[in-house]
Amino acid sequence: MDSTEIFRALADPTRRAVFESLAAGEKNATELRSGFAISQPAVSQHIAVLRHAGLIRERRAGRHINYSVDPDGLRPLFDWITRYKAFWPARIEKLQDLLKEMDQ
Amino acid sequence: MSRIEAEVSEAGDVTVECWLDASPEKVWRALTVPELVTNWLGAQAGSGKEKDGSVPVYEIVEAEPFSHVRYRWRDHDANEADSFVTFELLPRQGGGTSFRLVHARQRPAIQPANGNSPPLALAA
Repeated sequence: MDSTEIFRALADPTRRAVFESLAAGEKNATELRSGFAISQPAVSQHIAVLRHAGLIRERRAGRHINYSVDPDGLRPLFDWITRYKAFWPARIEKLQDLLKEMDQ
Repeated sequence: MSRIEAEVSEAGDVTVECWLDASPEKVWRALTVPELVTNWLGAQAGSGKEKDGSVPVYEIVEAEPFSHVRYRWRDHDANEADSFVTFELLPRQGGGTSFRLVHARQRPAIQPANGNSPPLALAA
């Protein structure tokens, strides 16, 4: 999964709140909705986007579907940040070396 | 010289701020002349549609002389969608350049030309 898609999924404040609510523990759609002043279709829509981004997973339990955070879901985002957090300082050190060599 | 460190914003952007011992004009050249960019960044200029993925590809999508450059960035190795790297340069009193880099996965909103806030704050 691409970190851009994860980033987009979490850019919406309500969706981020839904994700954070699930981070506290597994919930079905009704339990999930109770914490928010939004309609059932809106909750379903947010769940679909989060699932598509690989951030949450579902588990059928009788008549309900329970949703929970996928523990590996945030890894691409984490990897992207880790990669560039190391990449840019190293490159800027090279930029400093280059600037010393350049003529005014 | 103090060690350069990157910060991560709440939105997940990677940001570096530092002081460079060179004029904004000189830093500008290092960010926009292809041979110079390749020297320090190890990336090649292009449209990002190149098949060969041995080095990252950058394309200058915005440029305001001596103050602002934005690259579209693609690293084939990282298997990522395009992202955007924005550089902000400000002359510093006593010489040198205040340098700020923001690497974001989405292109930041266009800032209003008549905005009251300095560009550096808007790039956050």
